[in-house]
Amino acid sequence: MNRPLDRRLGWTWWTRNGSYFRIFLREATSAFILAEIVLFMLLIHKAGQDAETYLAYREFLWHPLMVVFHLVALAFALWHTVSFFLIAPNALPGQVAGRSIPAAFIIGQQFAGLAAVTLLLFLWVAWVGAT
Amino acid sequence: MSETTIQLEVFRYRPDNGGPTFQSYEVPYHDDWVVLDALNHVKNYIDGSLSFRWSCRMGVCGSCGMQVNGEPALTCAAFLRDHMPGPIRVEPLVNFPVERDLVVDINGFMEKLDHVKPYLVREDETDDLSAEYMQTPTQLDRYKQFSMCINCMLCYAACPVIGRVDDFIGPAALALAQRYNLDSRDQGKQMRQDVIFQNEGIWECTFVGECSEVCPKHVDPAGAIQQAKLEGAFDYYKRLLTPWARRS
Repeated sequence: MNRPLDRRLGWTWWTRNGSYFRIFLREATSAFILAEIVLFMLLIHKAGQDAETYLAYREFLWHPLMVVFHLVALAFALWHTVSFFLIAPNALPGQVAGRSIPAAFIIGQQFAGLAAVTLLLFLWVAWVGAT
Repeated sequence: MSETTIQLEVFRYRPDNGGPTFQSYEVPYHDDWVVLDALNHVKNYIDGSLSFRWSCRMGVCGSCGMQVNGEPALTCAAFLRDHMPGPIRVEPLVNFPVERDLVVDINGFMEKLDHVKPYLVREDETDDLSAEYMQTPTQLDRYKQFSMCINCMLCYAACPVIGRVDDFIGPAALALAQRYNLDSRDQGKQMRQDVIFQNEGIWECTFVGECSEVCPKHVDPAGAIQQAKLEGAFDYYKRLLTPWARRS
């Protein structure tokens, strides 16, 4: 009797090799980013309440364990950003208006854009702080 | 002088004879031998019951794809010297049902391939064999990379989504759909879009990218799928913002 054997990768696919594991980790970084967004939304919510509640929450965010968490989240966010920038040329058509676009150009543009937005944000925060 | 040998650990599965096992064979080592040569040596001189697929022996037919030390590879292009001192573990491609030993059932793949109509579709198709559809080198460049696919299915073995979602059309078929959609001579884009934009089409891909890593022809199916996603997203918003425009 013909009984084909099932050999699908299944749910543990990401444990098979280092390359899969890195991709799994890259996707898992979004959990840290989600957590930071929730913390930030809570901060806004607390800001609308009395000063004592707000300051207590701020103190919680500055707890050494939370600082470690923020640093880990920042590292993951940067890793996700860089890996996203590096694979972006694969997701874009190789040609625009019949002309090839070098991958280095696409990657460079993204880093330049990130640098510009970061600089603008710093300048805006500095300006708000000064006024 | 004793002959240098290398050990092959070959996956064996005979459906009428219990579960899968690994069988070891000691085969001669030659610098210019590939894993397929070693398997043929086993078949011809050691164990004639071993079953596997192969044909051209030159990376064109795409028949001899197997897992070599856990990685999907064409066995005609996997040199023994790259795996010295061995052993070399040879298994059938994962994500496919195994019929016997190293032979997998490819019917599911062939059906998926058929769904995307991987051929030129013309509205004005005639029986006139002298008809020509001209194309410039620039137009050719748009899809040439995706046209190099030999349907070896290594990308299906490397794709974790294929292992979890039975109906996912998969990297090679989607790359071929994109290949024909980008071809200036083709007029079947709309027919293919209905298949590739469904849930089991491009949107199921999570851009793991391993399909492109293992592709022996550097087709970059992952890139083709992401490009199709981008195009699909543009089309969606275009239709959303211009509901009066006819779907072209």
